[in-house]
Amino acid sequence: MIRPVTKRTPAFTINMIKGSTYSDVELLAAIGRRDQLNNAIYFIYQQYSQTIQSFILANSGMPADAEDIFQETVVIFIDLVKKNKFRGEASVKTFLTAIARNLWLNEMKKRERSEIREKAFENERDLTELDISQHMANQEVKQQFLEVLGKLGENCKKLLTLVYYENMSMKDIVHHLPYENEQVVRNKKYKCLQSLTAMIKENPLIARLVNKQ
Amino acid sequence: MEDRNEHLLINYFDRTLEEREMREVEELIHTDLEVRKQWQYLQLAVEAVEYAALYDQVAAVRENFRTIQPVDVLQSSGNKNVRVFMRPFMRVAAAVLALIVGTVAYKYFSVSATHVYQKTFIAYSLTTTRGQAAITDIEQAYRIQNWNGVIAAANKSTLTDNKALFLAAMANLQLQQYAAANKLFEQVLSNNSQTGDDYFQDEAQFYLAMSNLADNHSVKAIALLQQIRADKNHLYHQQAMQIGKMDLQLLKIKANR
Repeated sequence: MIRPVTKRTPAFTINMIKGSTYSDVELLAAIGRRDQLNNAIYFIYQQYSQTIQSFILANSGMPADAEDIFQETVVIFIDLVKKNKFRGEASVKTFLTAIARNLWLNEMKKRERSEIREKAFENERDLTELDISQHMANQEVKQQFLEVLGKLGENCKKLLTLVYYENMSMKDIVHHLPYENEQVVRNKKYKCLQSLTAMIKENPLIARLVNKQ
Repeated sequence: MEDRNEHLLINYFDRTLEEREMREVEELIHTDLEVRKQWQYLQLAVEAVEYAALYDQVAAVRENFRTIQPVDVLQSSGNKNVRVFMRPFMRVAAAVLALIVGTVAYKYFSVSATHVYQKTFIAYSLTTTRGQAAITDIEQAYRIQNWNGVIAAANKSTLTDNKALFLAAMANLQLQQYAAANKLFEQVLSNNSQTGDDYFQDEAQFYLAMSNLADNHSVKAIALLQQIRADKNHLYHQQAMQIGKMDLQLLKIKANR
């Protein structure tokens, strides 16, 4: 017997990631909204990756450098927007370019390619003169964050991400991770955060930052 | 003592303390240098979690973007401008002719199954599930784009549910394992034809077409896309309509050669 065709309840929706377009103001608002963040990141890639990656390529970068620098640029940009440290004082394009330029200069310094560094940006000086040094001051610390999290262990990282990034309740986490009940999740989260805090404390670069404050 | 403070600080951060305790911890942070430092480290730890999660999210979108974009986006054009002196009407006529010939030639040579796939493919994302009763391992792995995790979770269970079958198929598609993806999408369609349901029917149809395109099985893909284009109520009607008629025709010609 053929059952009647049932209408689906929309348990799932399709995020048409490719379709979203934003003005600068809309983009900043979208970054602030959890459900829009993927679309916003995708839009940034669509809109600015080619220009900024070409800029890196034109300044002695290899394609892999260009991609990595752009990814880091996007992370820093979103982080600054989320913390209200960029509110549209310059255009998004100018700001992204300034971040990428700063990152690439630092990367070249690290690689000690001074002769290239001198030549680089010769033709790009007037592209952007935006001073974003205050925003980039703790970039090394951010790199340390990634390293420390990498050492924390996948289970703890996942659990802390769900709690502090996804803002998921303990009750919801029980459905996501293989823990018996909310209390077990709570205990595990406490231990994970304790381990992470200890690792952060032991990191000399991060400790220097705290001692400066 | 330090351990007790840490416990208190974590609860303070999570705002799970009573009002009175909250004030006590605040006071402690202001007056005790050690506690203040501990508090700073705790804040940095949470900041680290947020930063690493953001980094992973951007990396995932970057991956998604790379699978959709043509690989040559970064190639710069080395064409130099050539100045040609012609009378104005000749210039216009030549430009129009060049444009027509160029467009047809470009279309013919550039349209390929994979090109159409890259232009038409859209990522399939699950919505936030707050309040949803039960989240399966497959859905969880899918949400964090852990494609191998989706397949592993799918392999652990006997897949009969269309949603699970569909997500496992999508994971295979993301990993470019087209044969496995096709099999699972076809299973969804077959389940529906047996039960008379349409659960994940539109999704499976569209992504089966995408998978066939990516795998250069243009004939199968075109047949599915034509069905979708003909059905105005199909979830992916608009997406399928974005493929130009000319592109479909050229694909058909190329496939039949």
